[in-house]
Amino acid sequence: MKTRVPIFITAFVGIFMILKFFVVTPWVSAVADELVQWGVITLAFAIILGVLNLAKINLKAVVERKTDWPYKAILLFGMVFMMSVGGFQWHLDMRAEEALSALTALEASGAAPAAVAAAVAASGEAQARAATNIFNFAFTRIYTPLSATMYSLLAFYVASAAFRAFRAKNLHATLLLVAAVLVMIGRVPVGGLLQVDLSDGTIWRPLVWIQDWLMTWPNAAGQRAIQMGAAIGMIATGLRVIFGIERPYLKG
Amino acid sequence: MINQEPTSRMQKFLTMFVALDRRWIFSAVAILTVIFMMLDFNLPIQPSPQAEGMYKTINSVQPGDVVHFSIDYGPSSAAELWPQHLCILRDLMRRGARVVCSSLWADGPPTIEKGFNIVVAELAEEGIKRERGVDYVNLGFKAGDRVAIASLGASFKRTFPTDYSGRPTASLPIMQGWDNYNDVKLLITIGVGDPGAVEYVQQAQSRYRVTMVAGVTAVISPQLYPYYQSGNLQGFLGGLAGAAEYEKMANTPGRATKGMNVQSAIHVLIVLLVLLGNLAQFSLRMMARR
Repeated sequence: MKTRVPIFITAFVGIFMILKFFVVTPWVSAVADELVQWGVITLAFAIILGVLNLAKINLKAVVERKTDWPYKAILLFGMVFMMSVGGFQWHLDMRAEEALSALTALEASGAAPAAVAAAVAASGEAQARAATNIFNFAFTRIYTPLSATMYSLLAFYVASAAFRAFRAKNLHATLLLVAAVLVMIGRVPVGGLLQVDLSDGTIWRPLVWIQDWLMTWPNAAGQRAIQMGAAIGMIATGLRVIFGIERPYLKG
Repeated sequence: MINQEPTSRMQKFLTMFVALDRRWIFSAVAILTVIFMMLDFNLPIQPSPQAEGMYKTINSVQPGDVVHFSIDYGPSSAAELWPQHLCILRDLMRRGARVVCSSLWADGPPTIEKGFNIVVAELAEEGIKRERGVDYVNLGFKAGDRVAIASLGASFKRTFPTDYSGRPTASLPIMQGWDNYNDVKLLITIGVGDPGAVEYVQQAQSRYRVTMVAGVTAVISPQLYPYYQSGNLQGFLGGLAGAAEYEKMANTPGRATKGMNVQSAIHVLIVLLVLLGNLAQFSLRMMARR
């Protein structure tokens, strides 16, 4: 039973998702669409599981003072802080929305001017509190610079890695080196500075043209081969999972 | 003796250059970046056919058309994608499209808010009024990657029952009269990876035949060429260079155009380092043979 029920569910869902592509019958689409909605809800729960798992593993490491435990403590603090700030902001937004709805209802019902004035004041206060947007502050002033810093470091590492990696050791490495140099120069405006005036009055930019040719033909051919290979692999794996030959969901 | 000394010195120098300490390279990148950021000039930018396709498609949008604008990146890749995001959003809102933004990345919705706030304020200065819930909406984040995209194909309102501010989407004026990709005029994604442009092509464009364009980081752009050639994508922008090309066509030079100076300088530096490194290694090999 423990094995057959998951296999049946997988096969049922998988077959309907495939059928939706090839069958135009409304009830097939309706069932498939409903299953997709269930999928979205299930995946949303996966985030909760992820948060709990992250908290469990890192909390244990902090309590047991394992290697790099201070970093794990900072991670936990950051997670709890952003969740708290987000929750508080949500609360403020809801209060502002409620105050605005109450004011609109009072105005519509023709209530006494004093009551409307009090509702206007309450709504204004709630809007002002929500507008402080502490979540936005934490996101813009803490998270954004930290993320941007991490990503921008790549520029330095790429420059250093390119210097060491692009060495003409053999034919393949030389081809890679030449292609990389041409694309790197042709992709940026400085590559367009090298111009040739053709007899018909047009301007030919050789470096830009070579870069475009490399990306449009050899690159696209390689990418297409990789993507088609991966797609065929995905079809084979999908069918094996649907028919219960492979059961990764039963492991762990 | 006379011949040996310079050769030995040369060998020493070349060996040192081949194994150049990376801190020298880091310093060179930093110095060039700062210098070229301060210099005030613009290099001539030539739009690529892919960027031209993107620009033409976006500028074919009519007032009132529903455009799904998926912002699938966070602050980490904003250096490359924010200029794309901003100039596309500016064009869409100026044209009076109904802009429906959502994100498959958890840190996307605040970026969407930031974009709306800037563009709505800019348009207000020009006397063009755009209203939240009527002309534009931020639907927020949805977990589920490919499944979430497939779910949008069935129903936007069911996938996003409320918008980012918590208002029921079914009651918003912008959401009236349409509910899935059959009614969407244009699908645009600005994405940094998976889920992003490739997943939207597979789950939304190819299934519902919706017109689609994409903006991606320079690293992802090689993956999109097959989809552009097959007509799945009408155009795409690759990295900061793509954004600069769009700015050139829209005649609104901004951060991307300025950034091209720095990017050109760093690319030239890397190419020079690579060529000199190879030359040094080749020379060392010749000396060793002798």
